[in-house]
Amino acid sequence: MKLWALARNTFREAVRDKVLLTLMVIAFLVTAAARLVPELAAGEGTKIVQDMGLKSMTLFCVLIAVLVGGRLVYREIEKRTIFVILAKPVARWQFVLGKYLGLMLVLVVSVVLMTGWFALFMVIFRVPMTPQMLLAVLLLVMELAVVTSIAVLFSTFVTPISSAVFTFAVYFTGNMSTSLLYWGTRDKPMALQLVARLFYYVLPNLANFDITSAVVHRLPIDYARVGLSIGYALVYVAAALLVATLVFRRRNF
Amino acid sequence: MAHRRGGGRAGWWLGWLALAVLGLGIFLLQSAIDRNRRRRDKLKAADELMYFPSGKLLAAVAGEYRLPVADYAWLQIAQYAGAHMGMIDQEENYRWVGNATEVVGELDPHFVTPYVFGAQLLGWDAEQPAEAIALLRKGFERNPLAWELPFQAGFIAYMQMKDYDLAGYYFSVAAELPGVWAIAPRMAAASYAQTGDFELTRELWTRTYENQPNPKVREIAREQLLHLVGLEVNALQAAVDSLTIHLGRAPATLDEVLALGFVEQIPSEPFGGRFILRGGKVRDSHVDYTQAVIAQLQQLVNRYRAEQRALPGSADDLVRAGYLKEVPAEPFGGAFTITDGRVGTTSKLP
Repeated sequence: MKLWALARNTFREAVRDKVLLTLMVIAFLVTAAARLVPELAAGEGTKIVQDMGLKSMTLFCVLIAVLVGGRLVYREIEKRTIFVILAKPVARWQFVLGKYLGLMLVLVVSVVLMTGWFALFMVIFRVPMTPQMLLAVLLLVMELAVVTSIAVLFSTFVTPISSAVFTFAVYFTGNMSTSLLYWGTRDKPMALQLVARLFYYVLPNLANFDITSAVVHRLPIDYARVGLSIGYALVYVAAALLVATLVFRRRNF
Repeated sequence: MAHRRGGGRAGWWLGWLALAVLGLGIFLLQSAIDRNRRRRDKLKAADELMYFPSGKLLAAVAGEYRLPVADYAWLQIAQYAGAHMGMIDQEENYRWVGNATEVVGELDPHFVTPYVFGAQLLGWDAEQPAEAIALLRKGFERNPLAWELPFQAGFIAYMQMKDYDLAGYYFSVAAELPGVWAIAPRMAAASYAQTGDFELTRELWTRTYENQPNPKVREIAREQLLHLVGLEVNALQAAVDSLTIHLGRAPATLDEVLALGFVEQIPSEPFGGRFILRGGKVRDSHVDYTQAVIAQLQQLVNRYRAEQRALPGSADDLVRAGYLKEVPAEPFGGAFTITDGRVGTTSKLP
């Protein structure tokens, strides 16, 4: 009940945020702009519209997670509303989890709206849709769950700008973690290899959630990998929120 | 307060004027930059495409945005090629095509169209068919089910390199893949026919004839098989003639020609008949049968004309009038015809 109250409050706060509204409008415009592409694409318009639709959703939802999520806890501290909340019988883990769930609710609603818009766009312009696209969207939600947990973690101890920068850095490296492991372990001293491996497992491997290529090219989907990736996201989120709670508990209010 | 509002109004107009001047300045400067860029692009666009960043590096940096980045690279290629179509061979640096396509391939390995498009540019515009086929091979390694890639390689080998054996190989590979155009087996057969490989040509045409749902394509395959039967009859006849000279007498059977090594094998007859030797002449057994049926039908047509005082329009008229129980099947897959009282067949008999 407390969690739900916190999550609902966070949701209300976030939907009033101009950053969210602006990002949603830009995302809708970018998806619509994909309509301009087919004339230029030498017969590959369908593929490009599908790529752009799915990936603009990813980009803008990640931006929402980073920019809105990074301010979540800090703003409560800055406005001193944290004292009011923590004066009530609310455990710190409940506060962190409530904030996280509220932001995830915002993101799920954003993803649903963007998916609806994208689907409408595809119907209007007769771009073929496949059920596998929904699977790509589900994995996008899993990816957002991971990125949001990182944003919430940073927001417990740094300013919103620093949180946004750090979360972006993690997002960027998390996207190329397989390459980093390859470069970090190839013909390198053992110590460096160990560091590369440590980073590989500590940073989120966001490539796990990307099945766009298989969806767009209509290749067979590896459902076992999809299942494992969902499991990975849930465990990673739990770990990140646990660290966030531990950090938050050490802060004096 | 009034003074401030008055000053504010003047400031307001000045502000708009300044904004208009600045807007005009932006427009003029951008136009100048665009003109300059167009001039420079003409000279440098190919170089830029030539030195696209490494695909591997781009793929690593782009992360999960690899596909949109590949799309962007593809749009650059398509636009540049569209503007320079027919001139790529004059630029002497056609290699940008392969380089840029490779970048797209690293970013989106399953994006087949750039390989086909790149190969077309290399093969036809830049007249570099070997490079075109090399590019298609790279694409095929990444997309072993994309029939367009070996098909295009076969087409370039056939039309540009005149390497019919190579073309036949690529068309055969394409013909085995799902979703391939119906023409692929025919192209393979036609290519191998140029090399004199009757066995493979017959196999490919037979497969087309037996499996092709499109009746027009089946008819083309049937005609090609008949043509092939004629070629095989001629080849066997040449062997028989050689043996006749060697022995001083005509061989009794084709088995004798085979046993004495004058042919490597007696080919199978694609319509279910067999090749026979009669009076020193090689024949297709179905031809004898067909001619016998034509002779019988001709007698019935003559009788029909005498009794009905009319000419039958088709063999079906003979069935309807009770002269014939059913129309016999034409062994070469064609049909018996009756034209102006003369019986024939749609097949060009070998």
